[in-house]
Amino acid sequence: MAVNNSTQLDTHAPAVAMPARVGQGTAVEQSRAVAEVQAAVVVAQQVPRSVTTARTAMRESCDVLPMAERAFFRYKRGGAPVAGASVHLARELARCWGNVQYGIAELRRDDLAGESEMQAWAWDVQTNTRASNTFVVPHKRDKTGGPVALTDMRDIYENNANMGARRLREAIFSILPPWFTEEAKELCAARVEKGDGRPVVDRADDAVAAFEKLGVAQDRLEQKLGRVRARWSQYDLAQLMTVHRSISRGEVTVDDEFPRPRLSDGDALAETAAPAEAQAPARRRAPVEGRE
Amino acid sequence: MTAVDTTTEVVITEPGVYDIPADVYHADPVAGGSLSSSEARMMLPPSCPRLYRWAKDHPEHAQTKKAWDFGSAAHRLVLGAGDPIRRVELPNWKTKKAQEQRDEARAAGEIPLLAHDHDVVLAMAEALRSHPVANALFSGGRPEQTLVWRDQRTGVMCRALVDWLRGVDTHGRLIIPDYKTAVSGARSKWAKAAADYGYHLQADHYTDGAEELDLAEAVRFVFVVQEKSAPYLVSVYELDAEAMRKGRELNTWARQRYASCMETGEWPGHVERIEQIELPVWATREDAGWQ
Repeated sequence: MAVNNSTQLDTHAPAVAMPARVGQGTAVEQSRAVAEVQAAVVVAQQVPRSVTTARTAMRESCDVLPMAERAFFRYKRGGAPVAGASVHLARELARCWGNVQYGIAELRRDDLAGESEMQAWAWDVQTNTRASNTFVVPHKRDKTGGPVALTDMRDIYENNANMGARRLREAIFSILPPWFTEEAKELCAARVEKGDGRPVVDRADDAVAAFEKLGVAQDRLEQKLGRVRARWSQYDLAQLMTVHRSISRGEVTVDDEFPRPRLSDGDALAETAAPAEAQAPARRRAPVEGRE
Repeated sequence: MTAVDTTTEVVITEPGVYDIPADVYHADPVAGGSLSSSEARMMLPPSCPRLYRWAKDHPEHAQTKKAWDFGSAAHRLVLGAGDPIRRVELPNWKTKKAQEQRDEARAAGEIPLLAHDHDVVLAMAEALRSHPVANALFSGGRPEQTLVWRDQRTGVMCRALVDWLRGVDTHGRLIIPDYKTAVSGARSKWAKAAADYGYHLQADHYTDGAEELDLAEAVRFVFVVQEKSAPYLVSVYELDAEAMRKGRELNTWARQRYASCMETGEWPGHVERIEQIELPVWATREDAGWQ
């Protein structure tokens, strides 16, 4: 007589918690989710990815300038700039690699405790490699002088989305083959360095004009790169582009990227020209008391 | 022509650098009114526009404190500008005679200073002059210059009294020094004092003025801090970019507030309706008592 596994399981494992009442819409969604997962796995087995095709797609994608430009991020932590591959690159590589599912879920939001429980996951349905990370996001933002509590719904949403995107990036990168990611990063860096193919001189003009709008003068750019404008390379311009985008997105501030040089004793002791001439103020007759 | 001076008053209508006496500066000689750094701070919490307006309308209530005399005297001796000092050969201000001498000196436009305080100020000036950097910062320029400019964003006229106006160096940079006396010139104490007294607002206000008047390609503002007790240590500090940014933010707020109060003629107090307040964090700690 065959052993009824389900009965045995029922006696040993606690029942899975189920909602008391399942609406029709939920029931449909439940079965759809099961079918979708099954289908994804089956299809992945039936139509496995071609690594060559995936690689070609990745190379094509990384050769597109707007994509390559978004491939890297830059922000400041503990006084030092942090740079790396962005979530945009991660998502794009997941698309190219194929048979990959990924997502971020907000499992629970607790306004009383001031935190959200979240999950970021990425799943290679073909090899059944899954990276998942459940984490708690405090509703706080780091500021100079300590973290500040977030109370606005929008701030909390944005903070959660931001934290989720970072974990998602790591999840996707952890299921993709390292060689695939590394090649993509190199290609994007090379593409950004090449820019739009225009001469370096023209691109330098654009960069100076763009930074001028942010209130950064040419000498500060030169100081950062360690070279005068005439000697800027494609690489220098690529670096400036990344910095410009990061400032525009508010990830770093102008002062973070272009710190003012510290004043030295020598600066104070340096010879100075004569001070600005004082103007003579106008004079008017003071009202004489008792005449009115 | 002193005879003419007594019947005319200074009025400033154009932005620029002016060499006017400190009392004229404090009385706001700018036509239509202008905002100084300390006035800007009065527009913001923990002060409020109505307090500013009242102080402006009642200059006779301005308090003259001992500390203020001391600071003025130190400025006088270090910068060589301002009101002359009257040395009072008495141990304290407690006697009627001392108080008479003090009031007499003030009436004559002089700074009354007790003999032992005067000795301290003299020693302070000497200590400052023997500090190479501080000495250089207060050399090769003119003391107590008034800057008047129009704030681009709000259209508010602003004024600042620069302790010492230097020239630009070969890099086109202007360093504006500001002399402060303090109980302690230690880094942390000074940083706290800067936050308490809003020195970041002052640094931005003055930098902004010099930039608006195109005095230099780059303007830097440093505090020359001298302790009030022997050996009268001198420290030179510059606020970091974060502090300057905060200063700018608050100054913009103050100027906007000033502009709208001027326009409407309404000068709000601390709060205009019943407001809910929360206790400071330290008072809500479980082990905190009620005092």
